[in-house]
Amino acid sequence: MKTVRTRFGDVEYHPDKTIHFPKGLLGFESLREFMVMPAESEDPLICLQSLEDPQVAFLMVDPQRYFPEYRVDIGGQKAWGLGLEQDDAYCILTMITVHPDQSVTLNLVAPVLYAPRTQRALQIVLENTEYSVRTPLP
Amino acid sequence: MLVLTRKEGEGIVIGDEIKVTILENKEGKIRLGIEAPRDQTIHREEVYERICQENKEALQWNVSDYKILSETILGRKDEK
Repeated sequence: MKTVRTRFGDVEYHPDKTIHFPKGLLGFESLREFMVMPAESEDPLICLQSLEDPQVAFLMVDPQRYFPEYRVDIGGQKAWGLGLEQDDAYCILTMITVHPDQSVTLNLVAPVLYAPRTQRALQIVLENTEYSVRTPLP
Repeated sequence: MLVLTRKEGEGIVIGDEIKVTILENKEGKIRLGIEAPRDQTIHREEVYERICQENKEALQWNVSDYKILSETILGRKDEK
């Protein structure tokens, strides 16, 4: 096990369970290695923690929990970096923004795709979407 | 900034692998065609800037926000 500094204090993680972002995240292109907390939980609220910068941690949730009709088109070249092969599963997560007034929005324009088999993830930007960067919870 | 003048149908090449072509220039709008390797990401600038900004704002949470989210907001659906 290795240890990473987080805003929850020092947290142990398994080095084989990290997530690689080949392109980083928008605005954080240099950060490529992340881990998720809690590691083995059914909690729908996930914290994506950078292993390279302790300050960088995102709260994430499956958007379909709130927007069952939410879909992401991964056609074309969008998901190429995930290394998906036929029949590979992938999951969709969206970032949560907690505003100074404690209101909460989801960034449904730029979801994160994660492929468990390859342990790779990408943040993609949807074109012509009806959703907002700051979509309030319903 | 390098400034070049191009006409419809003309293009520019960036490095060995990226080609940008002016497809159409009509009514103040310019349509570009971009050929690039598939590992290159391409975004409209204002959209890219907006996502970068929101990603930065998404970092502004603390442990008490996490606890509140975990207990109340995410539990809300289960209560229904």
